[in-house]
Amino acid sequence: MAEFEDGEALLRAARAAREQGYRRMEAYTPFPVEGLPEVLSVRGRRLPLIVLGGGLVGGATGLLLQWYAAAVNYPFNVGGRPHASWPAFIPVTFELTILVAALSAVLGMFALNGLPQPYHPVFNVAEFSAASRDRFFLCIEATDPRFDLQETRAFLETLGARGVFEVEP
Amino acid sequence: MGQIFHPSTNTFSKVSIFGAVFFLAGVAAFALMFLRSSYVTGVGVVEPQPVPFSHAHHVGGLGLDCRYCHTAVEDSSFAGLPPTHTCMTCHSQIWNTSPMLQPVRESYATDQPLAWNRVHNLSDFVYFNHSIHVQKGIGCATCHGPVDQMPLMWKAEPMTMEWCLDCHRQPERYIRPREEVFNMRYEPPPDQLALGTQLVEEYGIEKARLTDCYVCHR
Repeated sequence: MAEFEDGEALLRAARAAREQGYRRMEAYTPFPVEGLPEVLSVRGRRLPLIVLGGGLVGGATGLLLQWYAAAVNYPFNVGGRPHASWPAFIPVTFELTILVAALSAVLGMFALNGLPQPYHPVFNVAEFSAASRDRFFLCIEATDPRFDLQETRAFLETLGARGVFEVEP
Repeated sequence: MGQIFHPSTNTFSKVSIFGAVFFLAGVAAFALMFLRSSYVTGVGVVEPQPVPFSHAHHVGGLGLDCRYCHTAVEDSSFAGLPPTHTCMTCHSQIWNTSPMLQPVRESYATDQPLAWNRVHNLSDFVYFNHSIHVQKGIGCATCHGPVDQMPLMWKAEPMTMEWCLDCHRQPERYIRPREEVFNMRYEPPPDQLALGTQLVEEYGIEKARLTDCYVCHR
């Protein structure tokens, strides 16, 4: 794991590592760094689908629930309106769509990125406590096929890092 | 190892989030079951009475008709409990020294009515009319259970609005011929639905209006 002063240095280092053929990398930054996800080939394509699915489920639930309650299970005359008067169902359908979509956004985010995770090996590095303040870290994981402790360490040191650390599992 | 949290906290946090789903489902299931339990509805729970009056003996054993004591059931909204006079029509002569019947004789002598404990007690915002149900062919046993076999009175049905509406939506499933209403041993025929549909037609029951609010909550 290498420590950098700013996002630009991290971005350059990540590109260099990518050219070297490293794939199983992870970057830790205090704020989103423009262009970093593309370099690390992180594509957030699944969460929007989960949110869309949640929204559709919520909307369908809202509509069917009202239709069932108003027209099927206990129909009665309220102010002379038709039993299944769809314009009156729109607000609840709309709000349930948003509610379930928002809940699936949060829960889907947790499920996809494995949070909450109070224990993580990178915390074993003392300098890593600055990662959420003003330091940028690039971590190449040992599961990478090109990983070799000496070689990778030497490579990271060529990238102009403030320091290179070994992360204990 | 300069970590705040132990590795086990990962498992713990994920299990607690996942387990919350099951916990909430369990709470909901418990609430639904609790509200339908006999603890809440009082089904099958025997109320203590000042005199241990046995319907099983008087109806099942002696064959009294329901209307001998509950006189108002055919033409009033309230079926009514018999006054002490009704008890004393027989018990002035029969068992007239029995200690069990002492409260009845006392009530007769002092003109103080017996304080029976109600078993079927609807809320006061529900208007229930016995006479209309009896006239339209709903038998006593359909709602009150096999009273001719009850040594002491208990509720056979929950008397919830859900249960009332069940019949108001499909009366043909429970209706019987008028002359069978006070027959405690009536068995519905195999073609109950066909007979019921015919009787609903015959007795002029307007199903469309039976579930309106004002029918009961007047």
